[in-house]
Amino acid sequence: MSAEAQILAVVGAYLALSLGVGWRAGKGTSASATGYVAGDRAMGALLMYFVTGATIFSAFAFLGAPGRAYSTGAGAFYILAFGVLGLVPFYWVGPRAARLGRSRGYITQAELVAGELSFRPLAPIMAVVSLMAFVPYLALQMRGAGHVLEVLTAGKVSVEVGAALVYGVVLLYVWRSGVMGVGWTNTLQGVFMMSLAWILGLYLPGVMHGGVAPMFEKLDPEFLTLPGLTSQGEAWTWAGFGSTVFVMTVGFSFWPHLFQKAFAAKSEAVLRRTVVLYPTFQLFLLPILLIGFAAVGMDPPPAEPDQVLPHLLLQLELPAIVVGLFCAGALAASMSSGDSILHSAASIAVRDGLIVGAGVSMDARTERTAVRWALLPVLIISYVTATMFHEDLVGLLTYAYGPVGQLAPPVTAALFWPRATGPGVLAGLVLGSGVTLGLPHWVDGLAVHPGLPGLGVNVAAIVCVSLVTRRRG
Amino acid sequence: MDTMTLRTFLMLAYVAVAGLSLTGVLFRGAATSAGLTFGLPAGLAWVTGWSVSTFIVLWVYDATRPSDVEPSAGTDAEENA
Repeated sequence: MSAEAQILAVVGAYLALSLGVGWRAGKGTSASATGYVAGDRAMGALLMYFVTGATIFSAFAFLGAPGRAYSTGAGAFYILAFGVLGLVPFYWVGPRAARLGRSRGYITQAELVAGELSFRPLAPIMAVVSLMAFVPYLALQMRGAGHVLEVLTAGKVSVEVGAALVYGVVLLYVWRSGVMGVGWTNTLQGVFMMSLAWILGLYLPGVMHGGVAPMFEKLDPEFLTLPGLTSQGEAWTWAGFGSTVFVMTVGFSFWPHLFQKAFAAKSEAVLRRTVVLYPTFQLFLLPILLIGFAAVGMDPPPAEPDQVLPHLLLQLELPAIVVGLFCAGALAASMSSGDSILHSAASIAVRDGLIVGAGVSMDARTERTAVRWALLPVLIISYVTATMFHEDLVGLLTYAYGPVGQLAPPVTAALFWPRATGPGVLAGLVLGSGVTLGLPHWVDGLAVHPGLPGLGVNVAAIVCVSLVTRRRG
Repeated sequence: MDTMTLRTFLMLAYVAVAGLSLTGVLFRGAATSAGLTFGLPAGLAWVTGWSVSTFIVLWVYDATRPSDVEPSAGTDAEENA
């Protein structure tokens, strides 16, 4: 059997296992939108832990984190820092959202905000912001999956074919099982990724440098000193480092596909337990960073920092079965984020766009069917984006992060500030997003992450406009 | 100090340490020049330890939470099925 055939056999076995687990996961949930989108609000602690963990760790984390360590040194530690803190706000926000979802039937973030503020236009606007963020994010996951298959089969499987193959499997299990398919496959993928990360993270420094400590002793201490370098290779300031971690921490819990899982939790206690356990998931990222440091100084260097891991595996001429396992791990990282985004985007399009926004009326079964059919256009648009916009995707994704972080003040205001109004929240969202996206173009050499002044403007606008307007209803 | 005060104090202390870390007060200039910590550079050892300490702080905070009554699960499923 050739090396490519062995790699494809391992990948095929992994995809078949994912499909099998995802296909069976939907058994026992009701044939309603709540069953399909929120798992009948019955998800336990184990599923919630892996859903929140694996959903966030995408192909970008699996391939990008080693690249960041390789190119920016201590600058990469920010990934662990914001991951540790990221879900902490959810300890207070999640249970409150879950309680309101249970009592008032909410299944999306935008629906909750629009409902609590009695301001229906917010739902489609927030849905558009979410979808604008989701499409490049999903496209990037597809490209990551296709790229890994292409590199490791020496071009025998193209990016387009690889992405279509992997996301065909995702479509099947999400179509069939909804959020429970996402949950159980994320559990499988999470265990697989964590195991693989630790195996590779200890193995590669071992064979290349004689261990983790000897590897670090060879590196320049300056390279390992916080706050390290920026992605452009310039010295990072503490203001830049700290504000980046702060903005990402504030926005982390409010990614709509992650926030939506609050409506799927079995109880508020389960949600709180998930937040308590979540920081331990960061221990999976530590070996990923070690892989990046192992590659510093290697000859020949990778063409791009993000190609460090596949480059290392090919240079070391490892057995095909090990390369196949890595390939499956990278696909797991891609799929564990992609399936959740796909499922969330479809439910947001139907619930926030059609039902709340356009006022279309449908029963619970019809809504479930509509969400299923909405999976197709989301997937097709993302696939087309992935295959057409090769150079601009990472830039698009960077833009996407800006507005999503700005969802935090509106959602928090809707949940915790009785004086907040719909127009106030809308003003905050629009102005905050505008400042975050525009500031890098208006100001050269900005010392802090643009999301920080964006959040300041956002909060100020919510407070000011809310105080001069009145809540409806 | 009663349990509630201790609980609040613990969370405030945690937030303060996070703030001091992110502004560089705690780790300005920390490097490997003084040797590795558990085989890792100082900054990496800190963020790794942070993930464990965050878990412990949150666990204690949650375990000392006053109990409340939660609504039962699955009511939507019954209504929508």
